[in-house]
Amino acid sequence: MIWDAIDFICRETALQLKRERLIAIATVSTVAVLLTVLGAIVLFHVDLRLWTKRAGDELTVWVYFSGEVPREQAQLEAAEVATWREVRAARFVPKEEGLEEMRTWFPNTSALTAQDNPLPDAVRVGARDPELLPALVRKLEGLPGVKDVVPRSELAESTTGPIAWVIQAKRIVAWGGIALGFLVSFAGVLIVNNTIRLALHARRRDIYIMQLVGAAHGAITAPFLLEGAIHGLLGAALACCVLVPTHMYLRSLVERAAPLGPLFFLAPDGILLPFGLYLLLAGMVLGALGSALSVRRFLRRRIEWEG
Amino acid sequence: MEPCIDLRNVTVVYPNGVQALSGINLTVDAGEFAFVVGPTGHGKSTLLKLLYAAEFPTEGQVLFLGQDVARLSSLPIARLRRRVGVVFQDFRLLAQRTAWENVAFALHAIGVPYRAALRRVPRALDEVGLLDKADRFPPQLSAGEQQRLALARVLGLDPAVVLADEPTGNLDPRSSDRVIDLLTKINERGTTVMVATHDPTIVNRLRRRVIALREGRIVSDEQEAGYPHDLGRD
Repeated sequence: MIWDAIDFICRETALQLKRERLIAIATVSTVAVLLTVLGAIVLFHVDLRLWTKRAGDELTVWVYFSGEVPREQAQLEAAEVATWREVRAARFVPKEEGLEEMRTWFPNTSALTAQDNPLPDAVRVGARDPELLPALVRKLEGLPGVKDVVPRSELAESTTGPIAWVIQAKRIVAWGGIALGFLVSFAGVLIVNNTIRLALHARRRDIYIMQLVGAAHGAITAPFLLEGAIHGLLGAALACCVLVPTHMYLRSLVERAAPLGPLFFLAPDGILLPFGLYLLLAGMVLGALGSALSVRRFLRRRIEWEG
Repeated sequence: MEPCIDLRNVTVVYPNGVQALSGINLTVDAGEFAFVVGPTGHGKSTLLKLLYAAEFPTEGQVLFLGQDVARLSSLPIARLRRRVGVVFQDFRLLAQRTAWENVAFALHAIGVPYRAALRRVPRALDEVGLLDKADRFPPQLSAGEQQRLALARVLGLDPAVVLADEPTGNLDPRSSDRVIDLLTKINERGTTVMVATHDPTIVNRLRRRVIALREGRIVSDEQEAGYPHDLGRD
């Protein structure tokens, strides 16, 4: 019995896909356009998130100890800072290494000798999240023997400074991406739903006969769900065909344009496989969901033969 | 014995305020053949619609094979419809499917296994004399053949009750006779048959039970009767 039902559902789906080619093309292309837009938003969001994460990672806090603090104490404090919840990484930088680094960044200081070294021992601290930076700076300023913290808490807490900008950008990207994703998905379900209503209209007489002879709602709905899922899958596959090569091409362009370091960070090609699989799944769900909504609405109506 | 169809004080008022049926009390026993006659728009189709749950009573009870139709949810309604075969004046065939597919589609939709369908479809087509036209699409058939195909769809389903709503309305006299003969044959097997019509010729030819409706009320209900002279047709 169950196999007969599955057989019927599969045969009907195949027959309709063959017979209603125009409607199939309309549905598949609608899903494809929609998922291309949705996928582009998701990819752009992933890229932006990576970019803002990079920008956040670049935000480093320097903690300079006063000259009187013994090196062992400074090293111990650095080790303790590394265990803090808000700290991603903390590394003790002896003043000799600091001088070397300064010489690299500022060539006119190359004449400085170890005896002239103005730098004290320091700790380079990376925050786990840019949003934690103001509190972290304040905490670091309170450590015993600390002479200076760069950036200072005034700058870290400033609402117009670069740290505030990175925090703001990160929030906008996170929430904006989610909101836009929801909006496009919602629009997607509505558009697919409307397209499938056209398909349902074309098959209203089949549905009427099925209702008339006493087919269960499940038997009426199932071929449409399967058809919707297939349309969604094909649409998503088309969207993948557009998005994946485009992203790969853009990435190669960005890398070629800035060989020393990317101006804008694009996600590595490795994410494109899971992205593609998710997009195919999203297409299937979108198609099936759109069909389910349409058929449910259709079946709730009075059984009527429409001309 | 419990009647096959039992309507108790049934009233149907459509959402636009039109009262289609008013205080109908009617019982039809299993295996009966009954005509429902009356002018157009006086409630014949509504009466049949109540029996295949396409319409529900505003007041009263419709008991079909012992079940109160108005109280049934969607799945029991579907099960009930499996026991009712319906034919219409406009045939209601699927134009994109062949004669064979029209009969088979109805069977598959209610879960009849493919092997069983392979036996039942040719038998049903053969009974209505359309086996040689099994691969034709409905538009390639004459009106009489289309109605016989609709009857084949019903025969394939092997229902307990057959409802025919103006089955000869679009047919010439010869085709009408053939369709009525088929309905009689179905009834002779023990299937309850109800035919809504305003055609006196077929009613007078068969002389079966005649239930006459006027303005949504039963005005006469007689066994072995002819078409009531005072009823009018349109």
